[in-house]
Amino acid sequence: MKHKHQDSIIRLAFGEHDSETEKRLLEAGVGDADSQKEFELVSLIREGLKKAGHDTPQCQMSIERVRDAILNQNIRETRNSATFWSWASVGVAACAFLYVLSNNRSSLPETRLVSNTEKTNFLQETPTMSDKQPDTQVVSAWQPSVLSGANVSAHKPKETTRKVADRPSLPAKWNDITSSIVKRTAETVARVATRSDATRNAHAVPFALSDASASIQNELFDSAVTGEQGEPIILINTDTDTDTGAQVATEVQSFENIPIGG
Amino acid sequence: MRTFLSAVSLVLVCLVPGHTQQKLLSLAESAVHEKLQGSVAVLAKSTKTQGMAVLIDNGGFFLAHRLSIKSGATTATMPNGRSLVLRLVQQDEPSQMVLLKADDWSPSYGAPVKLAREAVQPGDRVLAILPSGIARAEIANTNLFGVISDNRRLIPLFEIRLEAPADQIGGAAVFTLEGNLIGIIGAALKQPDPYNTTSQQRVGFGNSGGVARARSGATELKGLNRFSKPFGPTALTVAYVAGQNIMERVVHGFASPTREVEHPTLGVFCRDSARGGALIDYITPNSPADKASLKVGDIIFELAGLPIRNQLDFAKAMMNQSVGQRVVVKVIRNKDLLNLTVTIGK
Repeated sequence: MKHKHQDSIIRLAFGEHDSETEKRLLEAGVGDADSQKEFELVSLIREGLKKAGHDTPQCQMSIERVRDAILNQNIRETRNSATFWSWASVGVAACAFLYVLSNNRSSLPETRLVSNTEKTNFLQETPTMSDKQPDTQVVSAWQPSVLSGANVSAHKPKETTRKVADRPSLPAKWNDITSSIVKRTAETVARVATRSDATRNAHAVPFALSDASASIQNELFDSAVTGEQGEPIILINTDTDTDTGAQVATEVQSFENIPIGG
Repeated sequence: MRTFLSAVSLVLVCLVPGHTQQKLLSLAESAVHEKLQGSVAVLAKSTKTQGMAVLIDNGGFFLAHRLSIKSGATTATMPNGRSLVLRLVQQDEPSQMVLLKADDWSPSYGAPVKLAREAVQPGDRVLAILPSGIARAEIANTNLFGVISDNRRLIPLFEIRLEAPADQIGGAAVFTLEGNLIGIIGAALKQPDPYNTTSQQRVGFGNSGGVARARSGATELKGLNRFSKPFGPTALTVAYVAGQNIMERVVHGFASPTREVEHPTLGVFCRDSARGGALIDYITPNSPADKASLKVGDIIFELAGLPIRNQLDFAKAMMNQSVGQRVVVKVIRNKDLLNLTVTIGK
């Protein structure tokens, strides 16, 4: 606001306002005593510049340079604009890339719905060993303070339809660079954070660990995304096939959302 | 001499009525079948056969699949005609195996079988002893993993192709050509929909009907890479038995004084975390994981020095642990890294 006012004073002193504005400002006064002093000072500078000689080119008499001199108490060094803008564009591009990358990662859901009908049926079966079955409803009731990623994502159907295969894959070189950084970070952190007691850890983990945790998560993410496709996995349903007398087995490429005990 | 024996064997096999497959057995296969006569029993309920029981201990302890047992006691018949009453002693949920004990057993009734110790390879010829007779089979894959719906534990599996399209193969015992036990069939691949070329079961098939229909279409044949060269004269069935390590653990446990099988466990259920690692979904109360303060929502990324990229890595890593062993589990909780020491339970 102050700069705007100063700018107006400078423009007035240099006669760059239109006639109506100039007339209005001169009639109403430029403001308080300080503003008046400033106006007079700028007017003097303008006059001084005019009297400085004929060597001063007209373009150097521009309002921009005078204003910079007044506001910064110095005249800026002239930049090599070509070099500056080439580096700036590279920096902006890098920032934009990192921003897009981080956004894509952070928007991934913790769990995904299984689109395959058979996998859904597999999940919906009534378990026979109730004390060993992972039931998300039971979990939330049993420990309401801990809201797992699975429970959270259960209420976000749009997100849960995304799959691992839908994730944007990273360039190999980028993976190499990040993995080397991650490894170094993890090694450093491992030296610092060797604790065996969970309670102690929960209360006393150094703040810097958050960054290392993120690094390890990134490494895990990379390995999960680039993980090789192995043999199919066999889902064995306890229903007995009447033809073979054996349980019904089906092949799937991954379990994705089916919890496995261990 | 060998030619003479082969000729005699062929004549005998052709003359003796029995299962169709038995007529096609080689001399070696017939010898194995003969050797196993005193080591197996056909489980039956009323008039319907349920599977096979395999003698694993001189004390009359038989191994069978849970499929074959419908109650605490069942009747069984050995190939020599001896009738037995087998009672359920122990069952192992992860492998679905059960231990049965014969009433009034005498060691002279039969000799226990040995487990196959040698590494079984894909392509190895094996024999399946079915309630209806014997069937030639082949190991198709030894690098598979499966999950059983009711206990949701990962289990290594062997895939087996059998020349037994029209038989009850559930509960059948599979042996090497040396007569050593590989496993007991618990599941068979679901018969594919022959008219649905996009079906995920296109790569495999269930029984003869599926094979016949699958072969009728060129499109289907392209998807049958693993099964496009059947070795036998008849159609195939794809079945699964528990892997060698699991079978060894089961038999060792059943033969122990407690008759219990000890599978290493933490007492957690995990699923894939979207950002990698195994996300803990449930913790069994009072389990080793519970005692070590693992929490629901923790992401396991290392177990006993092994990197954990997903739930499969976690389950595989757990299978290689020993009960009572203390291991370090590295987890991410919120944004913190935790190193927790856990004692592997059973």
